[in-house]
Amino acid sequence: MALRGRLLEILTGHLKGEDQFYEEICRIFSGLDEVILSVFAPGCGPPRPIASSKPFDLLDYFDERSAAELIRRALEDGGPVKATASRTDKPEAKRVFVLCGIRPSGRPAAVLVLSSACDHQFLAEYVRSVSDYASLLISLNRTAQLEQTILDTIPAYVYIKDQDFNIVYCNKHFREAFGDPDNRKCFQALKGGADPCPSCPSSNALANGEVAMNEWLCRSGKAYFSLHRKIKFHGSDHVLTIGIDVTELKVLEEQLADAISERSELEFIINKSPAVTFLWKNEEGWPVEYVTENISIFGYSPEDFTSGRIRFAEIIHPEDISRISSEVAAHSLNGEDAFEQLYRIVTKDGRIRWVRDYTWARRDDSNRVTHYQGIILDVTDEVLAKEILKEYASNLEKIVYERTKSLREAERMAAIGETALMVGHDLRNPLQVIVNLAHIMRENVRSAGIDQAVSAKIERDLDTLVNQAEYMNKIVSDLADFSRPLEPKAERIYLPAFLEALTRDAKIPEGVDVSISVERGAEEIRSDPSMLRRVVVNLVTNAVQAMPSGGSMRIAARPAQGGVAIAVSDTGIGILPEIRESLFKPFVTGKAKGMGLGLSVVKRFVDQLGGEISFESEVGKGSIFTVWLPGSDQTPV
Amino acid sequence: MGAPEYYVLLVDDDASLLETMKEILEGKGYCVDTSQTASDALKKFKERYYDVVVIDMVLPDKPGTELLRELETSRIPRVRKIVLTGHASLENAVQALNLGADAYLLKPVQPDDLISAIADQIEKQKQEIQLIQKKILLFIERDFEEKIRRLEEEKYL
Repeated sequence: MALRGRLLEILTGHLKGEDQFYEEICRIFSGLDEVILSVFAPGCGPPRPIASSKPFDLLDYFDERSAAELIRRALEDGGPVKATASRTDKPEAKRVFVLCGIRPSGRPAAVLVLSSACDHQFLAEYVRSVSDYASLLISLNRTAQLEQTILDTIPAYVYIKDQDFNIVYCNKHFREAFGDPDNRKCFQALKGGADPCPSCPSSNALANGEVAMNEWLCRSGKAYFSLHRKIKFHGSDHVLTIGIDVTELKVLEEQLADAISERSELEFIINKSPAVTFLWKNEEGWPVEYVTENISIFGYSPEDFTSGRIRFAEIIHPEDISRISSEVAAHSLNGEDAFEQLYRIVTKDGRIRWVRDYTWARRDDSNRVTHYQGIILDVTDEVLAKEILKEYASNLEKIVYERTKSLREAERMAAIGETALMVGHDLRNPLQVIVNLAHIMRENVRSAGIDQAVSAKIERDLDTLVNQAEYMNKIVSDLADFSRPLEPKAERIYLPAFLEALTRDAKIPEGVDVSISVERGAEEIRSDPSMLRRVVVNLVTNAVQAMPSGGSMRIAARPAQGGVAIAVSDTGIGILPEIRESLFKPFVTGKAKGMGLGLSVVKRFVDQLGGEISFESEVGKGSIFTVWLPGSDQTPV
Repeated sequence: MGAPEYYVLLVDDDASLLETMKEILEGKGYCVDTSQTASDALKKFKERYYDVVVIDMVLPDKPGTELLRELETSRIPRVRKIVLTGHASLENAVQALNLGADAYLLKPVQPDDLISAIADQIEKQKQEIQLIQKKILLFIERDFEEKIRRLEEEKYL
């Protein structure tokens, strides 16, 4: 009020008689907080401020145009007015100006400059036009205050920096976050790698209208997200920065990322494990809502289920489905939310696998089961092993019986072995006597000169006698061979000659046609000759005995599997199916004459020679026995 | 009969075997003696010369191998030895041949085979004797020539 009074006083002194003008002046400036008056007149030197609490920059007297420019800038920028107008050389010119603007504190102010030489008419007109500015200023001021309130309230820091990185404006939030920006340069902070924004761009780095963004962490550990935009401020390039605290967001983001990676980690582990994880809806057929990828161990893909193409119930074995359904229903009814089941599922390629299913029921608010979640483990091996074990347990008695039997057999064999040599020797002497006597009788018959027919008959009988004695001798030899410990001594054997000599000595009856063939590559073999001889002789003897009314016998050697296979085949009676299994066992069957020890000796010898024996036979058509012997490099001796 | 007589000794513990074997061999013109023990056989060797002896490897008083060894080491004249055994094995055969056996036969042997084995041994014995006789003659001739040469040398000296 003091100011206004002073103003009026001054104006009254100079401008008497213009009541209307004074009133208008008063009205115009009544909304302003501060008015600075400067009165000057032509020729009186620099104007002196006459009333100012805080003076503007020194005002000089200047012409109309430069004054108008000053006002325009003041209104545009809202900042302090800097008057730089030059002195005019026409002191009598009209000189009345009102300068309005908003000061850095945000308060509007006006400067009235008066000239002693002005005329009242002009002044009135001018002030009227200025009055519009003033009212605008007031409204601007109010808007500015509102905006300031908003800027100070929003949870973001806002600041403007000039080209030298000086902070020329900041809001309350900025101060709270980073302290007073006075004399502080963003640039310096940048050099220190710290607040408020280590990498805020300079205005030169930004194009007009361009927005730059960055995220950074301040020293206090808080995270910020900042937007930078180039603006015009006080007529020059500045950068407006708006930043928000994103610390919490960052934490959430990290937690989210952790959760995601944890989940994918978990999925990875589950998918690498044999535990297939399911989530079924408690609806008809158990449609699947989720299943892990390792369902592929049963041949399916998750998509088979999640697309609704296959419902879970459809892969359960048809024989198990009704049991499983009723079990699940019973568990749910009893309020049991965790249960375990064992059943079979059918894989996509039709195999049957046993699974153990650990299921949990999920209920809604009304305690109704909405979903089941389960882990399914393939336990086929376990189930099969148990079955085998069960079978084994039930067969234990039988196994024990058979073991005992074979042990007894072994004991029997040992006893036989012990007596074999003694029996052999003791039997051979009487055999020699029989053979001798047959010889003597034959000589006697020849020299006695009896009837030709009678002597022929006697000689045939004697032949049979000798043959039977020889057969008895063979039994004795087999017995000895079977009981004697074997030590094969490998020698090089030339098979064509070996087989030829062997058949020549074997006394093959007239009615049996013999053929020997040795393929290229099977001519030579390294083996124990006496053992191999017994093997082939026994097979040949059997073949001959299998053809009582004649036939053809074939001995064929050929290279096979790195060794040599010798096959002895006949066109004889064949081997009855019921004795085939025990054919190589000694003393076990005794069913067929001539099969007693011969083949068991063959088997024993072939085993000792590191070979293998096999046979095929058809009753009424004949048999073929094949002995395979290893090649030189495979011979164990 | 102008043909030379050959003596064969059969050594076996089995009387029936000896009896029948003797009959067969005598039928072929051999002079046959038999022994049931090794000691009896050795006694017989001292009484006369045998061309061939047939020995069983199992005898009541000592093994046939022992008899073979004694025949080799004693001052009994060279006799062809055939082993006839019921214990057929390669080891036994090798052992018998190492102890000086000339042939090895397995019981029961066909009489014809035994007969030819004996004939074979007698033939070999004959050849061996002829060879020895030739060597002796050669030695005597050389010895004689040497003596003549010395006498002549002395005479000239």
